[in-house]
Amino acid sequence: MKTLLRSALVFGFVTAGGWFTFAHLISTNKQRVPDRLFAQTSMPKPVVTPPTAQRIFATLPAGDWWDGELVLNNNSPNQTEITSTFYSEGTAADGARVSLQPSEVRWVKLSELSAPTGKSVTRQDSLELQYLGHMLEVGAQITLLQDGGAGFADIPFSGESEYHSPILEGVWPAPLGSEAHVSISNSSDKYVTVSVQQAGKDEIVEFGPHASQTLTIETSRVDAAHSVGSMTIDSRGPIGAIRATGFVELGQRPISGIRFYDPSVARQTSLFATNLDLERTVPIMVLKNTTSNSISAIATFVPFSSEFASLTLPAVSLNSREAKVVNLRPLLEAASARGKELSQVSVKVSSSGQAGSLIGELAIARADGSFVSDIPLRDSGPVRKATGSYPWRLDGDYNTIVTVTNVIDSVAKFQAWINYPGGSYQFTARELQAGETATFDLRKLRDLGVKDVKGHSLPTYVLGGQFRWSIAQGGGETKLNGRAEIASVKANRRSSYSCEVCCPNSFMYGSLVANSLSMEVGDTSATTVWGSYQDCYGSYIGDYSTYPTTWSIQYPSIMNAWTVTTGQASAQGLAGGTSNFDGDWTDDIYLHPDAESCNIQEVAAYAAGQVQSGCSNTEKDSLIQEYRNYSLTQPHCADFTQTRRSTYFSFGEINTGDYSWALVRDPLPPGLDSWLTNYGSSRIINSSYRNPVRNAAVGGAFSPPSRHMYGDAADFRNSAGNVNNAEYWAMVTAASNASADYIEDPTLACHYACVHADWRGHTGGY
Amino acid sequence: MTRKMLATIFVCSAFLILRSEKPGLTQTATDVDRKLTGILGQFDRADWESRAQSFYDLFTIAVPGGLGGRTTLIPSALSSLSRQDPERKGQMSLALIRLLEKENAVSHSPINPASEEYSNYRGDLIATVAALKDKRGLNSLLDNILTGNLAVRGLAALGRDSLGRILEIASANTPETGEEMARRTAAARVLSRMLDPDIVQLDETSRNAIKVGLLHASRDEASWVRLSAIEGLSRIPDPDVTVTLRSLAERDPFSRLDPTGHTSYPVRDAARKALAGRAAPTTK
Repeated sequence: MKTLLRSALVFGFVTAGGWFTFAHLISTNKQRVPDRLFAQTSMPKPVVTPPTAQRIFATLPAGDWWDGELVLNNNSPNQTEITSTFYSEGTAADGARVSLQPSEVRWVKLSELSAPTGKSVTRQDSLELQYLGHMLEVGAQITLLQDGGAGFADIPFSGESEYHSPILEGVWPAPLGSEAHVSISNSSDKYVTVSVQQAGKDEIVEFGPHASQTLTIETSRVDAAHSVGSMTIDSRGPIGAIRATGFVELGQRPISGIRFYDPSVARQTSLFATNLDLERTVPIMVLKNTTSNSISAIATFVPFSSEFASLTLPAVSLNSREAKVVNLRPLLEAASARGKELSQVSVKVSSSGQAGSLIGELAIARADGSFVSDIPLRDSGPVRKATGSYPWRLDGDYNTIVTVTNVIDSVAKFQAWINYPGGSYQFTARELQAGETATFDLRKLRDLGVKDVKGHSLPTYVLGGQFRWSIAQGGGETKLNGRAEIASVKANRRSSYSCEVCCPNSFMYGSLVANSLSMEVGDTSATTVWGSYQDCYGSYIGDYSTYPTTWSIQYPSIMNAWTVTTGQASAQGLAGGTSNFDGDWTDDIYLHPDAESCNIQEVAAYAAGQVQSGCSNTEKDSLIQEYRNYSLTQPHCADFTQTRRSTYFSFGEINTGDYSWALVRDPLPPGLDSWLTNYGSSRIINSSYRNPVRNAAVGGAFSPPSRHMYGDAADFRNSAGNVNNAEYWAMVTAASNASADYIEDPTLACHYACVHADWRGHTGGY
Repeated sequence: MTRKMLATIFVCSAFLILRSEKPGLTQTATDVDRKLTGILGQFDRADWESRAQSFYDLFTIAVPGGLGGRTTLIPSALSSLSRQDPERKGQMSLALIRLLEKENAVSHSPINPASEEYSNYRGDLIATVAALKDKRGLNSLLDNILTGNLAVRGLAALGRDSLGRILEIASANTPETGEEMARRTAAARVLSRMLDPDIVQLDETSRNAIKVGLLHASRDEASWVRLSAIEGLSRIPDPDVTVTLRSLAERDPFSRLDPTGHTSYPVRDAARKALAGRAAPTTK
């Protein structure tokens, strides 16, 4: 037995007063993983590089907000120190420091973070967070708050490495009378020249180090017929230096956020969004062609359940650099007609252009027209986008709904788990059909005490934590799109989170929970097949059930093995002996989590085991094989004896077979003794136990099988043959008085040469 | 559509969903009935192999994989068959009894196969008819009274329905052959077993008749018969039985060498054992 000491996971622990930490050392006594005998491969290991200084940055748009709430999400297995720097008019000032425990999610008031700067947070232009670690190891997002605490706009953070070109593109809904506020910041310490193209105008703006500017665009300046606004920002300076964000107001009420995208980052031609609630909200979709060629876009709305048909809207033509509002009336009419079927959908917008040719925005309004939130409409992106790390909270009336949608046309798998103060919760590995969406309602999960794979449920005192997911066996394709929506009616907030981590989970090793199986020939044993995984920061994530597609068996004559269902396999003993075996499947290891592609390597994964089939005794194995060969009810290994005897008959007299082992059923020894005692003098056993081959040799019965093969019969010799039938009948009567269940008639097999008696009707084993 | 109508539709739908699982059961019952009909029809086949095969096929309905040599499963398998197709219970019992009657005739005819297979099959068939506890099986079991405990127990279980015939055999004044001695011994054993309340519950009249039969058997010339009678007499606490047992314990003439070479008196020993067993209640 080898103990695998798993990586220490340290979680934060929340109390009414705040977080404190404790180390949660997971040490599992796991059965030794037998060596694989076939196609020996050394499993590559992900390279977790030494931590480096990481910076993430957010522009704080000018507007009618009063404070903000910053959520910090630590994906690291280590404690992480975060420093904050606020910039105002190009001047840096240190904000508060925050220390996050492993996997901790912390909500911080922006004003508290800003307090050491001595300036009101509303006068700050941007915020930079620094930590020592790896790409996306800390996620952050700000919800700007209006006076009274209502949510105003979501401001995500981004790192420099997330940008590949100097271009940023944004598009937003712009009803007549609305105002768009776009804030542009220079996150670098270099001078940057920016060309802002908007509504047919091209404006050059110089940005000093860490300088910011806010542009207010009134709808009257936009083509009101189109009700859409858009902007292209082209910078001359370090790639990723310029960041932009904004929001749209109508009558001093926010109606949409404004997100900017670098089109060169896009990997797919389609855009996706998940968890669109058509029952309670009204979506507004705007699209923009970022290229100089004409393209068309087709929006398809896919119900969460793959049972229901999706709805595709007519194609939208977009000329060079044109932005348009998509007419969603057919969708809303269908949603009204089809009821629950279309109450919750995911969205796919296909573009006829190349990747990055299309950007979009999905603003969500209530039926009364008030703004609810905006949902990112983005391409599924590089493979790291097939992961998610979201904050969740259940304090007050907050709830968090996490959705993960399969955006491709074939099955996709993912793993999901929750870290919370004091523990973790592991979902079963999920498989999603094309277009299907998995929904996780965190409040229901907690309040209903839904058990995880280990039988644990979320403690009722837990108010929040971290939700993580990762594509599984994705082969480098992104396939999945996820986000979390945190909402509170009382606080009038609804925020969307779609942060990812550096790469999907990597396969570590496979194992069979029962890997050393001992079984009798013909018996079947079940076992569970696990794959163990780690995340891109080196944390052991857990064991997930997996589906071996093939089985390699050392000695196919001894055993067989097969997959029953995901995570469940069976092995069967076919003959006596020992054989190694393993279940095989293809899995992914992301070798370089810091690389854009994550350097996926598909590996031949396996879970190995050993079967010892039979009785560990060649004679018994041969005996049992005889029963199998003759299709007889198969005895068990333990049924055979080498010693069982009666008072008057030795084992050697009872065993008239070919082996040193025999079957002697419980009623036989006392039956024989009683028979002999009743008869009154010694008798010779012609035949008692016979193994099947012996039984065949003497012409014994097989259909139905002779009782001699089951060890509850004996033939006493009639010494006088058929001459003295007094002797014969005395033996018959003695057998009857010995409670023999069946005594053969002299007209049958033995005639008068012997008396066959058996105890077939008696209970009792061996 | 009114709410009431919707509720009605819902209830009907739920009922239909529940009913939709029923066809599975109905189908199974139909299957059982069809199989039973087919199997029972085969009992009339001329060749014993087909009859035997059908006989064992019957049990595959109740026991997955069939009996496989497990004769002890026969009573529970019969109960299961009766539950699965209660309407055919009587027909099935009668078919099995007729089958044993046929095999009884075969074993005493020139076409007796005389093989171990056939003998083995007959043993299981006797066990089956014995387990039916159906008085229509009396004759077929009486024909097998010499075949051991399965038949003896089956006859005992018939109680009053077999009592008269058994008393007749036990007290028969037949030629003193080994076979007749064995038959009277077996009959005495049946009488003894009839006093076992686990096998059958009898009225006082029947118990008195059994007592008379056993007392008669205790005076049989054949020591085997006397020995078998003692088993039953030990269950009767009457003073006159005690007197008989004492007499047997003290004066029974039968002696022989036991397997160790010593002279023994098996009847006396059995009577003493029976008296020892009743000593406690007698002295009260």
